[in-house]
Amino acid sequence: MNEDMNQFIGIFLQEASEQMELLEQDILKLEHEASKELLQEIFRAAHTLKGSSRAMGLTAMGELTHAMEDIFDALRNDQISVNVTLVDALFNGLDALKVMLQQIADSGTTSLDTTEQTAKLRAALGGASAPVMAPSMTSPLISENPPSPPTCTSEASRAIHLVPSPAGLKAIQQAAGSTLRLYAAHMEIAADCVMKSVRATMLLQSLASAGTVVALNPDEDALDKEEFELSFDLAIISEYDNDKILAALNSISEVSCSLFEEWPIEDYAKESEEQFHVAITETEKMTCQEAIAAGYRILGLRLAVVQDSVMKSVRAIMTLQTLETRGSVIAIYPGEEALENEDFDRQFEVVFATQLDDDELRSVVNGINEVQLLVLEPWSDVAYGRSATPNKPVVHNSTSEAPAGAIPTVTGAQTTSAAVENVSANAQPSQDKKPAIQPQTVRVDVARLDMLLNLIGELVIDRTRIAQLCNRVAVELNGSGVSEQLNETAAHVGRITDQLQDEVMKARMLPIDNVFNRFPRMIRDLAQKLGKEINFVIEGRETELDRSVIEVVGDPLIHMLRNSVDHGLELPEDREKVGKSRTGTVWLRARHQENHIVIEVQDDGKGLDPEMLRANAVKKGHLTKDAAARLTDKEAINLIFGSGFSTAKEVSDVSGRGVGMDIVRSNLQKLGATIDIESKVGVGSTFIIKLPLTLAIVRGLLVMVGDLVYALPLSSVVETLRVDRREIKYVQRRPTIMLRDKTLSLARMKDLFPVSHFSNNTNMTEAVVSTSVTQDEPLYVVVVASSNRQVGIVVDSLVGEQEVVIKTLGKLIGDIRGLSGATIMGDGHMALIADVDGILQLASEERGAAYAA
Amino acid sequence: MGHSFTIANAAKDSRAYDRQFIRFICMLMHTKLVWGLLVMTTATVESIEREEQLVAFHLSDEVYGIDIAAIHEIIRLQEVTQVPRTSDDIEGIINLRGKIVPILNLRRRLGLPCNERTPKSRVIVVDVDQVTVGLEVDSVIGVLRLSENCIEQPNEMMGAIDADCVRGVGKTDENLVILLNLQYVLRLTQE
Repeated sequence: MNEDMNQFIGIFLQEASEQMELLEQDILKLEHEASKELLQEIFRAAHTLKGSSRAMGLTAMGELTHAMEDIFDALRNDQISVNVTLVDALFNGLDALKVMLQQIADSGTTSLDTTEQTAKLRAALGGASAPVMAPSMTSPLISENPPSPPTCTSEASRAIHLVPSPAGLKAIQQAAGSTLRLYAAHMEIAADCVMKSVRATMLLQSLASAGTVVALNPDEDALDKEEFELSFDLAIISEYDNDKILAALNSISEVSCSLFEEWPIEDYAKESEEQFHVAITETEKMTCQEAIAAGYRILGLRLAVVQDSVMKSVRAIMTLQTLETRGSVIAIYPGEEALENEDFDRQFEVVFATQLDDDELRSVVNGINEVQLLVLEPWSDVAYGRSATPNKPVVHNSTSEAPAGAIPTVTGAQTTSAAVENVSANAQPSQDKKPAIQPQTVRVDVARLDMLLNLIGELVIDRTRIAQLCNRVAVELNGSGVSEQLNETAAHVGRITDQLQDEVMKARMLPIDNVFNRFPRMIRDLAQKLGKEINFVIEGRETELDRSVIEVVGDPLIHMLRNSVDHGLELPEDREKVGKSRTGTVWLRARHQENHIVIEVQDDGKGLDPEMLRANAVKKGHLTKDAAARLTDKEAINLIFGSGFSTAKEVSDVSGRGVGMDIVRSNLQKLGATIDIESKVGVGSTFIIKLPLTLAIVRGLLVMVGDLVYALPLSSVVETLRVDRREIKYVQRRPTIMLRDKTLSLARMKDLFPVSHFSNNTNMTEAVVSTSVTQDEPLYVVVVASSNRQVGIVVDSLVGEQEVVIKTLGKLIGDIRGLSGATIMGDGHMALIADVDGILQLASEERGAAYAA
Repeated sequence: MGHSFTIANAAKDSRAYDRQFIRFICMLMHTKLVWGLLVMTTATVESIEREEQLVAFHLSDEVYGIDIAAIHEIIRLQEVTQVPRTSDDIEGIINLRGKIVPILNLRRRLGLPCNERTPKSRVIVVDVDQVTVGLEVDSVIGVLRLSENCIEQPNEMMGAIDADCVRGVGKTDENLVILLNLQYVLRLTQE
């Protein structure tokens, strides 16, 4: 892969994975409802994927997607219907594509053999299409536009579709003005002909004496390889008159001319110099009118890729994509397919709807490497209203074979076709309706967004600091106008910073659907494997959360969903026995709740049985019988978070290796998330995950311990207490207090985080003073909780609440148990951010540590 | 002499030097000064050395050196926030213009006796393998140039400190400079 290619590989990978996601979702939907719109959408996705993979030179991928596309095409034309084998084959192919994409991402190339998948797909397509076309992937013109029933309507097969080759074009131009004439013919070969390619070649040879063949469809190569059905089109320049040329065309046995036209040569020659080749269809015309009504201008552009460009097709497609961001591409010449396959001379043309003025557009196009803008004319004046006439030697994309929807722009397929749908859906299109122009978006590198958030973090720190300085200034200047103004300004800066933070956070937000959309497929596969009937319900797909959270929340959810399906839901027969419907339901919900995202995984299965869990824990030696008996039901349920604890009686390959929930919880806790279980035997279980909105900034309760300030994530803080020292009792040498009739064990922050080593700081004396406080002084206790365990942490004093930006302690210091990082506070001092889960662990290890009161 | 000076600068890489030297000789062949100058250039060749630039600093009574390329900046001691549950030689963290930088007490890491902090104490902030660390030292002497042949490999006699931490010993007119291998000192290599 050369340098130039690498430039595009990133874009390609991103887009390909988007298309694949779309495909996966749509294929899933396909099983339930095979609507025309859905099929159209699927077809487009497959088509785009095929095109871009070919443009990148990934033939294997192109082949596979092509096979898939054929199926969608056949489905679209009602030649075959959806069944399980077909969907399986499609998923099979899709999986292979994913593997390939991964390989490409890793190594830049893929070596996966896809013959099996392709064969499966072809087999699924089966006898549906009468003569199975030669699976030639290198000459898409044939398979794209086969004159066989699957894709061609009868009118389409009558029209002569021809793109003159570059050399042919030149010949036509030279011939203009002379006595030479231009003919087009649709040739048919007898159905029982044994050697089609020989017949075709013989014809071409015999025509060589009559004139020059300027266009051929399919091309000569394809004819040689017999990669065509029973017909082909050609255009020829000759001095012969009609009869003579017809005779020449019919001179070879078993080959006959079924359609014959003379094309006005001057018209063509002139047009190829001055006029646009690109033409628009009726539907596209309507899109244009809509766009004009909305204040868009329709322009005709002729563009050229520079002579020595290595990858003309990529440049052309890049150009189209760039244009799509500034408006809407309505039609392309020569079709998208030709562009992708580099089947064009340097020039291509585009009909384009935009709000930009000419200069802006020029600068946009000039901004694209290796592409020049040759002609820019208002389309409506020059050629608007002109539509392709049958005898015009013009190929207007492949619209004739796909009447609606599949307008083959590369990225604009959705948008333009959406416009078409709009038109057909609303008989009276309202005047003020905007045409379906893509929303103006910019792709931004994630790293840049992260950087932005970091900078905002700094700002947040400074904002707090400025506020503090303002207070000091106010005291020192005592009521002078300056301090008031300073206060105002600071408050304003503060507000702006807040807004900025909100906006950047929003920019980093993605709908959780990005994670959720891979689950339906997983559930479907699981259900099939396990023989269960499952109704999978997703709610709150649109809930947005920070990118950093999205990236990490997927794996825990997979585990949990698998658990629900595997362990939670019963087999259909068992469900019937207990009076439930055969089909079990799994819900996956997401919603905002205060400053959190709540994700719930619920099933209506058998629920977690505390008795069984207790017995299991005893059997596995995690707990003594007595200890198990003492557990509340809730505590017993939480046992499933222990490591090496699987409730499944048998280990399956779906879940149940006894590590699942343990890992789930620890991963979630790393994110500052909490997980809760509600379960009722026989009714079902709900797993509730509470996630922070972002991982970079947390709200913390600042507490003072010795001369150190700690920030405890507010999400884990239950309450704060002032405790009289005399209330402290000892249970197994652990300091404990009674809080609302429940015991709460205490741990001193100083014991959990000893700053023991000798320090040059002079704070040692202070620390000594603070430990020798009198009995009368109350203790400040912060109650923190994580997954149903809680502990009261004794601190010296409470400082306040603040948003803190988490920074790592660096590699030198590494991970410290109980700390998740540090932050810089408004006054420039640093606070250590506590990790509540770690604290709970440390506290339980501190068992028996002497508590000096 | 002007010619030979050019060579000395350009010839850090010995192969590049060979090429240049030959070209130079060829050029000289055309002049009448061949013999005289040739004697001079060969004399210069012998004294061409790699030179190292170091920042030298005091720890206890010893002089240590760190490659100047690793040094980010040198700052005065500022308030250090201690971090619990770290090893003894981690002083804590500082706020270096909004960035959190850990401070390593170099004496303790190298196993030298502890000293009180003095007004001369400094923190040398280094970047090693993209890790920023502040090294607390007694005082900074300054930049030192050492030619390569003044640097000896470390030997068993180093005694007190871990021999792996030392890259070599440089000799200057007044002092012996212990050259530190920062990667090893920071234990980054062990991860």
